[in-house]
Amino acid sequence: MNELKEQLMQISLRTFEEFAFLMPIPAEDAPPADDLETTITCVSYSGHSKGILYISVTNPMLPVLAQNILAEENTPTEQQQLDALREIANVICGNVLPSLAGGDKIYRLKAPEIVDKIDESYKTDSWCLIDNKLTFDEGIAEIFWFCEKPQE
Amino acid sequence: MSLNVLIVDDSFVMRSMVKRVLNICDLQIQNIFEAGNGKEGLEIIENNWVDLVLADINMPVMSGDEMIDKIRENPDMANMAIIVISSESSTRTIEILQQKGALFIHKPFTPENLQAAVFELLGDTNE
Repeated sequence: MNELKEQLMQISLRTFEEFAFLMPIPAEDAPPADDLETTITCVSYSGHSKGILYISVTNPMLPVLAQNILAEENTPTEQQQLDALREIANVICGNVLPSLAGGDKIYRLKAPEIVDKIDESYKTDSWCLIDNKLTFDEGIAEIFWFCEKPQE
Repeated sequence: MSLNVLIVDDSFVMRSMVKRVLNICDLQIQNIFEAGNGKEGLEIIENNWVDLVLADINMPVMSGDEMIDKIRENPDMANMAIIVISSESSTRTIEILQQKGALFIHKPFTPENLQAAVFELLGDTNE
C-alpha cells in the first residue's frame, strides 16, 4: 500500500508540475484552507479492476490551473477552469493505474466528472483508499484513490 | 510543406494545449481543425484535407480507437498520419494502437515529444 501511495504522490507531483507548472511547497507553508471552498472531480475506471480517483482542490487553484495549462494571461472561463481540473484527474488516473497490477493490464477510464462530494459508499472495507495531499502557494489539492482490494 | 492538422479531444483545455504546443514546435502549420470526439473528427476529415490527426482515446460518442479503425477501413484515408495523445498507460492498448499504424505520445508530454513524433511520421516538414 505504501508503494501505491508513493506512486500516486510521484505521479500527482509530476502532473501538476509538468502539466500545470505548479510546484509544491512544504505543508507548513500552506495557506489556511479550512474556510476555503473546494471543487471536486472524479474519474472512475473498470477493466482489470474497478475504482475511482477523486481530486479536491481549493477554489483559488482553479483559475491558476487553467491559466497555466492554457498559457492564458486572461482569467479563463469557469468552464475552462473545470475542464482543466478534469484533465488533471484524467492524466493522474491514467498514469497511476499500471502501479496496481502492471502495465499490461487494460482499464477503461470514464470521462472525468465534477461532483459535489466524495461518494460515501466507497468509504467501506471493500475498497482501499490511497490518499495524498499536495500544497501549493495557490492552495491545496487532495487526491483520494479508491481501488478494489487486491486479490490475495 | 504546410500541414493541415486535426486535433480530436473532448477536453477544450487539452485541445488548446495541443494547439499551443503545435504552434511553438518548429512545424509549418496551415490549418488546425478541432473536434470533440471521433465522430466529429471523421466528419472533418471527410470534408477537408487533413495531413495529420492528433487524437485522444477516451472520448464520448466515438472513441479515438474506433475513429482510427474507421479511418483505416476507408481507402481514401487509410494512410493518414495519426498520433494518439493519451494518459493511457496499458502496454497492450498502446501495442494495439501501434499495430493500427498510430504513434503514441503519453500525457503529460513536452513540445519535443510531439515534434519528434510528427517528424517520425511525416519527416521534417520544413525541408
